[in-house]
Amino acid sequence: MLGLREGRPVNVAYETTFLINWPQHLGGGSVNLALEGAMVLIPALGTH
Amino acid sequence: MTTTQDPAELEISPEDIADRRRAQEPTDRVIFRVAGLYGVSKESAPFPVSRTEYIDSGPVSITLDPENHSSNIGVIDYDRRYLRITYGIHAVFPGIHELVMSGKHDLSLLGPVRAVATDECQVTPDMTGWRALGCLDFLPGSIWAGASGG
Repeated sequence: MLGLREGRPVNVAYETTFLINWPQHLGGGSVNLALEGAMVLIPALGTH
Repeated sequence: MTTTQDPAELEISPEDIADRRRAQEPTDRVIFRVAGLYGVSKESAPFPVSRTEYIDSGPVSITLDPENHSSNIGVIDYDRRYLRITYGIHAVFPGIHELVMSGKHDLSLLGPVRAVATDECQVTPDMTGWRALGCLDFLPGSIWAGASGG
């Protein structure tokens, strides 16, 4: 992600686990959903 | 014509200047946008379709939500290796198609699922990515609208 600081797009890998709480009309309760993948990030406003 | 200003009227006092000197320097931060993404789940998850019925999702695939123009932004603080990112996603999975084929549900609610995800975490030491416990808020338009969590 260091490239962002230099104004360059970067490719990154991520792993995120979400705990999803279901609404009551679907019976409530919760489930874990683990996702992994990649993103392309581009600088938006420069370095602060 | 010139005017003089009473020093007592100046808004900045020596104490103010001293406070400014003690203030921490701005951290090394970059604001960025998400230009593209994909994600997959390796395992199936139970998704409810009523108070008593569940389906197995099968592997979930996500891509950037083409209708969401307000999310997809984040900030990284290099000093703390801290990241916060929000991104809109489209999710599809085999379970949706099974619902479509069953004919028992409103087809208008069985399109790609839209949600907004937020990750807030430390980035990896080599700065190539992150592992997070994220928040996922499902948007209107699907059976699962209103589901959320983190």
